[in-house]
Amino acid sequence: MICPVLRDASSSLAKINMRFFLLILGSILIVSLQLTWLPKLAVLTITPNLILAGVLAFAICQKEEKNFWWAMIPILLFDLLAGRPFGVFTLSACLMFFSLELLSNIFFKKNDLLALLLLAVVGVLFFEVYQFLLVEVFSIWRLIEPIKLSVFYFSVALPIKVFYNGLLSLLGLLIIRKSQLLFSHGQIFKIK
Amino acid sequence: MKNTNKSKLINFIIILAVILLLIFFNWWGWLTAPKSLVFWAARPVIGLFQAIDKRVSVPWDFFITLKDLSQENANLMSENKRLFGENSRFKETARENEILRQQLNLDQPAKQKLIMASVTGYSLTSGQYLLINKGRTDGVAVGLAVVAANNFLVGRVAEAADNFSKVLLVTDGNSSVNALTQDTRVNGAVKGNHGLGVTMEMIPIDAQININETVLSSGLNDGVPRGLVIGRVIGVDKKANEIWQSAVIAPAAEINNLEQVFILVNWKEF
Repeated sequence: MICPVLRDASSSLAKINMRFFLLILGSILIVSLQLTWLPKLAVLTITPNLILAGVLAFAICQKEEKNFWWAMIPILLFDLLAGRPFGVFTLSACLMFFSLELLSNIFFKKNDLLALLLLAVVGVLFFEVYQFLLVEVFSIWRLIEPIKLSVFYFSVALPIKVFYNGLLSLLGLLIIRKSQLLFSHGQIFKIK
Repeated sequence: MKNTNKSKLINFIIILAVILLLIFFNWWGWLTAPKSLVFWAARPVIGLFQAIDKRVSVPWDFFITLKDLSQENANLMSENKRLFGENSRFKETARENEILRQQLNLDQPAKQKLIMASVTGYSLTSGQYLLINKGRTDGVAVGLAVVAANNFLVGRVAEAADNFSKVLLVTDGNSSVNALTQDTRVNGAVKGNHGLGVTMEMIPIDAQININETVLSSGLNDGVPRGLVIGRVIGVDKKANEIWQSAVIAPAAEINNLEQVFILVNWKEF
């Protein structure tokens, strides 16, 4: 006869494993989508980034506890497959997530649309700044050429990136909110 | 509240440490196996998405270009006739060249060894890259030239894992290939322009370049042989008070619609 404690433990372990498997599967789907279909939506070679938008949405959603380790899986998968050099995307996304979470806790107590919009815009800007700084650091070891900040970057590339990723992150936020019931008792986050 | 902030800080530090450790592992080449594993796992899904894309985009593209089809057909017919005549002349010249080489006891030109690879994806987030399904185990190495059919230069291998590689496209801002114009033999450096096009820079101001002239690789880069077609000159930017002029190049390879590419593995200048 199996002890009830052991049975409960094995049942919760199976649930976590199932969730982990689903997350890996979902991450592979998202990364594949990013590499195949999303480049077709490029405007002047600027493509929306599903993974970045997902992390952004996760960072700005109002939750008590968020487990960033779950967000790490798609980020790492994308970086392993397409990031160059490896680490720039992961580090930028991680720094952006924590900066944005800190910012939203300090300045944005209200959960209105304007605040969310501002957070999405600031999040993309944070990501770009971190990416720029990290590329500068990596270029010291000649792993990548430094980013050339041109008029094109500020007047065209950056606004398109902000628009595309900000819009996608708001869409992601909507999906997260709609799926509250699904995840409210899970490991990914707890609803306030 | 304080405890929550403290736990968040600890979490942040742990995550940062893990990422830095992974970067260190990558530096030493210890992430090759995980990279290959991820590619192996994602490959069927990427294939599925590509198949769906092909099914949708081919009829769509046909529908979009339908109105220009008759004009395009007429253009291609006349181009075909011109190329047929040119090809016959080149065949004769090649034969003459071969006979002369034999008479002068010159070495025969070495044939290029090509590796065919399928394009599995585009990464345009941090630079202009494409992913191909051949890696180190197939003989791919960093720096090798990647061409489309007809020796049209696509880019160079920037990173090679075991079973896949990343190719830096010629249109990327970080890409630089030494080139020369075919008719006027003017040297310069072909650089990408934010992924939007290609520019030939460092051309002396007094050099004469013709519009529609073909631009070839000059062979001065490691891994990129001489004579690969980069594109065609479509405009010249010349300012009187500068020492260099630049030329706008239309890339020969249709970079956004590539399905197969070739990696030049074994080539020798002759």
